[in-house]
Amino acid sequence: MNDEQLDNLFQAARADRPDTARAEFSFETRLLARLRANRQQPAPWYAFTWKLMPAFAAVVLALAAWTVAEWSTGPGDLQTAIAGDHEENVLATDLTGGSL
Amino acid sequence: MSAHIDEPTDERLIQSTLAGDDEAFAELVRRHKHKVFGIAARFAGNDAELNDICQEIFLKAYRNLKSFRGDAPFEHWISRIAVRSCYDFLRATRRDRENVPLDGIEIGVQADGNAGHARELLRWAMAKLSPDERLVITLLELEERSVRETAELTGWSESNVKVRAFRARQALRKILEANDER
Repeated sequence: MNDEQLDNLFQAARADRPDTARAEFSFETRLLARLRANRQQPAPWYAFTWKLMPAFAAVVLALAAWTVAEWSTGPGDLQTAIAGDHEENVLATDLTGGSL
Repeated sequence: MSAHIDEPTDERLIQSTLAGDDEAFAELVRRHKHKVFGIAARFAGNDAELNDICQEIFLKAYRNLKSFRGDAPFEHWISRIAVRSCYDFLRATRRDRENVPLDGIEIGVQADGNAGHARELLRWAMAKLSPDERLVITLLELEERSVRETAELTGWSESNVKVRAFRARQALRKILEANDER
């Protein structure tokens, strides 16, 4: 099929515009009925999820604050914690006369 | 004559619709439905589909009426919504349309002046195109829109429209030739 044949096909199809009169009849009445029906339907549950956003944000912030507070009260440095334990062991051994 | 002068403008009807007047919206629909149906009819397979697509178009327009700034006529704005809704429809129903049989249509009679027959043949062949290809062929070749208009309606660049149109014509020719060989 060459370009000319394709163009002829387009031309013939253009000449035959689809008749929409039947579908157009009373279309606005049907549309308004649907619009009013849509308005009367209660909104789906997920339409309200955005309203819960501040609550979700508050929970996340609280969790973040709790995590930060937890870290700051614990031993900051692992080596210090081990060294502290070792000193206590040495002292206990010295006082009780045991061996290391 | 005076009735003509008293007729409210589209902008006025939009303002009334936004203020809650449903009848104003009905009037807006009445004015522009023929144009919208004309666009959608090129993509719908039957009256029920046509009705669904057009309802979707006008519902989208109603929901987004606040965003209509009035830079361009309302007719252009609603046409853009119509074209994009038709494109969404093509994408959503692509699988169903690909299997449409070519009942009693022979390729050899495409240019015999039988317009209805040509439309059916084209409809069958175009159902096998991708949604992009079908959209661009419909707007450029069947609706006889310019490249610029097609670009505005689809949101694609003009060079993109030209490239897609070229590929779409090639694809369409291949489909028709393959059917001819059978």
